[in-house]
Amino acid sequence: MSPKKVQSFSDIITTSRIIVCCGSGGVGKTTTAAALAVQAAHTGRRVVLITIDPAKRLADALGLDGLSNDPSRVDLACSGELWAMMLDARSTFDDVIRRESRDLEQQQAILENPFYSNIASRLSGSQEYMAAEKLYELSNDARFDLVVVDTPPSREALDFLDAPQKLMNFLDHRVYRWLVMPARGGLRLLNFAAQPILKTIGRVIGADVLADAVNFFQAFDGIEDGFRQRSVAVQELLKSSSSTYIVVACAHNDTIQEAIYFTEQLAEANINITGVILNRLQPPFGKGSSAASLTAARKADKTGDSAVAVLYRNLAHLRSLAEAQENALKPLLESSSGAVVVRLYQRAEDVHDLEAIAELGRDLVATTTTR
Amino acid sequence: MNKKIDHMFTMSRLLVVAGKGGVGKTTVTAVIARASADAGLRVLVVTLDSRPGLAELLGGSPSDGADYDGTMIQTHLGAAKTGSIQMRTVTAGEALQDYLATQGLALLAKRLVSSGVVGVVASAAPGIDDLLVLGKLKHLVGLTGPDGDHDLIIVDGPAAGHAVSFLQAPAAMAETISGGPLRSQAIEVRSMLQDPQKCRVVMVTTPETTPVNELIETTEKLTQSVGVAFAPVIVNGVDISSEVSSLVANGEIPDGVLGDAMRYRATRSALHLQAIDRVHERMAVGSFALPHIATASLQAHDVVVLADIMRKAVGEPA
Repeated sequence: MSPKKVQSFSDIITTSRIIVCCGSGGVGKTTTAAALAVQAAHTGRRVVLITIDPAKRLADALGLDGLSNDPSRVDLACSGELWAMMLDARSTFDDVIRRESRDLEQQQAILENPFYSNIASRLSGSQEYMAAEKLYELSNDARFDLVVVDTPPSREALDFLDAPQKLMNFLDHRVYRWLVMPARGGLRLLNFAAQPILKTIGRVIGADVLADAVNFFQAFDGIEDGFRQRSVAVQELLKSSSSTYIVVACAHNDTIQEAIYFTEQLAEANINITGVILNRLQPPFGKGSSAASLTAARKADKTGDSAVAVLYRNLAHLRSLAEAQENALKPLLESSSGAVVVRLYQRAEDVHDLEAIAELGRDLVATTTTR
Repeated sequence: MNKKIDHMFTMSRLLVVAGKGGVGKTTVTAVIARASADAGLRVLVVTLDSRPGLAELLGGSPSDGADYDGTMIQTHLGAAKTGSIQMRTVTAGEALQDYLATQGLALLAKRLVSSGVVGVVASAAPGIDDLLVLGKLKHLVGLTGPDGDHDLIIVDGPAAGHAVSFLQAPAAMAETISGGPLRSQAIEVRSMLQDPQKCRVVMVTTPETTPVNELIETTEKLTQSVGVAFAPVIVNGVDISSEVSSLVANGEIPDGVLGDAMRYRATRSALHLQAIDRVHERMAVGSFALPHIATASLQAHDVVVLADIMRKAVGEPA
């Protein structure tokens, strides 16, 4: 099935079921995700926003205290509802283990294993997977009709999409199969820990650390099927037409390159970018060029009007930055040719309270989208 | 505005550059490298993830420094022509092979890597990959000095959130592992991190409230959990126009875009000044403001300009 053609960010927030915000670190992804969620709530939708490691002031603005891994209602006067949560990857992982374990004994054996702690909180991809897992859970929650998710900062857009598969591969790795195998064959741990290669690993990393790893995979044995089925379902949802992808970028060469890389990676996975948010652009202040302002400044220099010269020089400075940014953005606009593009300009003041976020949300839908 | 940054290039052998995404950590790494090389030092720049762009900012080609052995990018820099910049990439996998080789396990190292057992090792203990990378850095620090290969090592460190876990890894491992060679490695790396003559962290921020808040938080965490010392903080992308600000202060604001543009610039200038003041107040080690360059794509020649400003503030090493 082919998704309906969207024309604007207004369409995106009124028709999507899931909005995934991608972008490299520091582009204002969390803030723009929050702005989309707030604006959608104003159109009457029941929205839940999943944030990942928001700055403290933003978390405060959304009433997030980091204590709960479940959404809580944000105090916002709107026709819909706004809920928000801060992802706690560890608790989400614990919940998955609790759900999939066959009994309490297996559950405890896994949750209390030191090796598990390491995987749950530090293994690369586990944060991404847990964001996807939470997204899946909330998209099936009758309380909400739109889920907006802020993805973990990453240079690989596919980290988020591939995380379920990546984690499965990790848990399925032949080395681990091999680690678990002797236990299945009825051999005692002691025997196979005496194998030369394990002995060597044990010598380097410490025998107790290795024993924890082996215990973990033995305890995990038997619940991979549940894990696998779930990861397939999560991946299907992420790749389905229910999920709308938005790329957030700033007008710096490096973040632009990363945004282009993201769109290319998503295209390879047969996912189209629906929207591009160009964030914190230099406002151009009118339609004139920097060259014209500079000419005016020079004229004022000649007539000895130094204050006027300063004014025009300032305008020229800001406009030349805006022009440079527009130039730098061209390759990104080309690579995302099917997407709706919106420009958000740098505000004189920082955006950190709910009112400023709501204002940004209004700008997202009010700004005419131009390429 | 720039106080107490004397000796920034010689106060320590290893500078780890850290800051949240988007603050220009890689740019600052390039600027410090160029400035210290222009001051006559032999500099080694280390990247942990072969971040694209760094080699070009240093004046090299995109593929320079992408491997473990490294590339010499600049030589004969500075008044005495002694300055140079070499760049290399250090990854956990390669550091592990190196490490196993020093343990007399070179042959096994190859097998471990090719069979995927390295994946097991790297995920078997908290932060083992970070420890291996830091262990390699410690080894490189041991090779610095007048008789060594380099005078200064600058690391383009991981993003702020990761910087804490990265630098915490040795302390955490020293506690988790009860014995064996990795434990001694962890203890040695931890003491290097706590020796201000050997290692310091350069925190980078932009002159805005939220990044400065996060800088203060990260600094406190690193002080408590790692005990690492700091080099002066770099406030990157500072745009202060005192002429515009004084016109606004005098109330000479015209209507239309000219007035809008000046109010905007004056407000930004005031915010930047405020942010710099907060960094000064909170960071006893001092700070240095790098001016904003009005471009969307910073180039090697911009790095040279910024490096010149920094070098003049630091002075020539004794």
